[in-house]
Amino acid sequence: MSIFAQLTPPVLPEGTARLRAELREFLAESRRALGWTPNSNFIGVFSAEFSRLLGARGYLGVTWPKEYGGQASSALDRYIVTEELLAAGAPCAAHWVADRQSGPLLLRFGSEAQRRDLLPGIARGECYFSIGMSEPDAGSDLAAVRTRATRTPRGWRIDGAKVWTSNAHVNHYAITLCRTGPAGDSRHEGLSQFLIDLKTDSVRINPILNLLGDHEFNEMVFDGVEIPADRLIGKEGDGWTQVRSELAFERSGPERFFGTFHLLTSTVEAARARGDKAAERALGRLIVHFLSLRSLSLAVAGVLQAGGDPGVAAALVKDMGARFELDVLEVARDLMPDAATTPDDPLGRAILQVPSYALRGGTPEIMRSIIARELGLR
Amino acid sequence: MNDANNLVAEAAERLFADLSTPAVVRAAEQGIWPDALWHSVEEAGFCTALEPDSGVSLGETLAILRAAGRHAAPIPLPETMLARAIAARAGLTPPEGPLSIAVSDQPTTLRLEARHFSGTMRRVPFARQVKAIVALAHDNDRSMVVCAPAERARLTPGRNLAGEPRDDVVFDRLELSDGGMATAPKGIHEAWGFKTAALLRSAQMVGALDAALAMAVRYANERTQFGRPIGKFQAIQHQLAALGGEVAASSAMLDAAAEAVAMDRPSAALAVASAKARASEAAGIAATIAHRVHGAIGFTREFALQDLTRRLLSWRDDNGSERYWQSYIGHEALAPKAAPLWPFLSTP
Ligand SMILES: Cc1cc2nc3c(=O)[nH]c(=O)nc-3n(C[C@H](O)[C@H](O)[C@H](O)COP(=O)(O)OP(=O)(O)OC[C@H]3O[C@@H](n4cnc5c(N)ncnc54)[C@H](O)[C@@H]3O)c2cc1C
Repeated sequence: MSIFAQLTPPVLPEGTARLRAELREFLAESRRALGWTPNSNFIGVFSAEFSRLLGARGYLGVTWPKEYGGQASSALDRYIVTEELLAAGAPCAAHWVADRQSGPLLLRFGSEAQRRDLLPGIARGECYFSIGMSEPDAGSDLAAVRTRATRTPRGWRIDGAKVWTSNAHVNHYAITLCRTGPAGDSRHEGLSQFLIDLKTDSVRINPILNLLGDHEFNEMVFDGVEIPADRLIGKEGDGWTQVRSELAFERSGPERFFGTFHLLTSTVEAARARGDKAAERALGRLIVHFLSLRSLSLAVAGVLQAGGDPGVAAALVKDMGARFELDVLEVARDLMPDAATTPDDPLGRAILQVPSYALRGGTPEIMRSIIARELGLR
Repeated sequence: MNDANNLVAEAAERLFADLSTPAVVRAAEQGIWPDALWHSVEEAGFCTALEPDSGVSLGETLAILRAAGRHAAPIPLPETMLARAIAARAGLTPPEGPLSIAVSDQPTTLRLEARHFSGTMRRVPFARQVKAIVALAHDNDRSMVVCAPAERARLTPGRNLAGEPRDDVVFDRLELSDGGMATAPKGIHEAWGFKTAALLRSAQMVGALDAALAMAVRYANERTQFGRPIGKFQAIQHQLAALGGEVAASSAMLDAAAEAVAMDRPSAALAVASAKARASEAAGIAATIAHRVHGAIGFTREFALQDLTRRLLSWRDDNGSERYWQSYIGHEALAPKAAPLWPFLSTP
């Protein structure tokens, strides 16, 4: 039996129904209070107000120890919170990365001072993080990063540039992967991660408009940026192991197939309203794929809860999830043919935006290569 | 799969690996009943797994069927399981040995009139090799379970794409004894039988999908072209990764359905429909990829891949194809009084 046939969704804990009910009430309330419109792109709408409300209710840092502001709850509870936020299309851009990967990375590899400094703020929904991995010449091939950190008497000096850094212009910190030594034969040696303060360090943040004309990602330029020694995260030279662990968190959640969920909801509503029998099969197929991905994604949460490595399972969800998101677009185009004509319409917007979802966090080709390694082909 | 399921799965895996060999599977297609295999399966208690109080959980039952599917076991195991489950619930004691069932999503056309059983059943699995056939019938407006001796039927032999018997069966005013009929208990009706059969078939399919993946990966690591194993070519790696995805999604959906059914959750019908639809969609994709990777050798009778793929390509149409279950789910989701999409999907 291959592990592919053993990724079993865990049975959800007792309190799931209550947790869901609480979340739904909270989401409805906050929507009334803040007036957000649903958007299934987890990084689509930045609302510090919403993130703070979420933090105040204990829905951030769900799995972290209480001493760092967490709830000491299970990965399955976190899964429920995450999918309810995505299903509602809540404005999650501010806290999402910090809660999903930066916090867990600090918890695992950060110093005690870093944890005490940063985790409670993340859990309160007040402290936001960017991902400083990609560079002009290092995309899928992350080990090719050239941004360099050099030791100075009082810490480190950073030179180089990062690109595609989502929300660097609004977030507080970026965890940034730098070269600190020779790459070695594996090319994985000599890498280290640093905490960059986007508000006070002298990093230059230049907007890069995306194809829709929106300002979401940025270039971060480091021109001899001086930072203190205590900004090193984990151990010097361990950056590759650490960044892989961070990527495992980055890829592990249901956001990898929820990106078009709100569109699917409106498509179903439209078909239901006009009693469209002809739509049944296409929508039924999407539901089957959604539920299958959700089962697999729950299995990922189960692996996380058991303290295992969710890498392959997460890669499977991400690869198939990206395809599913595009399948939703095609069905929506079929069933709402008049809706896709302007970029202001949700479907028109999605058609322009959704193809990018497959890229962030690693492309489908990279996911398939991870899966192929697990199969014993590489 | 949890640990208890795993123990049963391992025992079943050993049994089918030993006794459902390619030679046995091929001989079965020539009409030779796999006696040793069947006896071991009976002795292991697999046939009664679905009976109430069998001591075997639904998860374990499906683990047995996955193992059977992995080795293309040419026996009516899900049929016997389901037939015995229905009969036991109705208080009937069917004969020893293999059984089959006639299930349909349509109201039964089979009739009982003053103990006399009549009707036509199409494409009954293994009918020519079983002792009895369990079916639902109407006695005026009473719903009945019947267990009719197969030797008293008129059979028109047929086969599926894998050469498994799928025979048309006619009973013409066969007089049944008290042991051959009973009032259908609450909850045993056409839709239940059809969905349960779909769930069991999905488990065989997931086993066969997993085996086809393993076979294709093994072959890709062995077969050398252009001076290296073909598995080193990224095009092949990515095809097999896609196949891995089909296996993983089908398997996880099956597990979710098993849990929903075992716990009698409101989502059970949706989950079972999704499990069969997902596995059926995966079947065609998997067969295409596995055969592509194997090249011409996979297109031979000799090579064992075809024992799996011909079954997958048949089983995907049994008890509702992907088209059938996708439409079923779409119909439910679009019903005027259905819940909004997210509550519809997230109801436990
Ligand atoms: C909306 C969005 C937000 C993002 N946000 C961030 C962020 O906040 N922080 C950050 O660090 N990065 C971010 N990224 C960058 C993202 O991680 C990269 O786009 C991604 O890793 C791919 O790198 P690349 O764009 O350089 O493409 P490349 O790596 O150049 O890839 C181009 C094509 O080649 C293929 N390819 C590359 N290598 C191989 C191989 N070995 N085998 C087969 N095919 C291969 C790829 O699959 C792809 O199809 C974001 C990207 C997007 C689109």
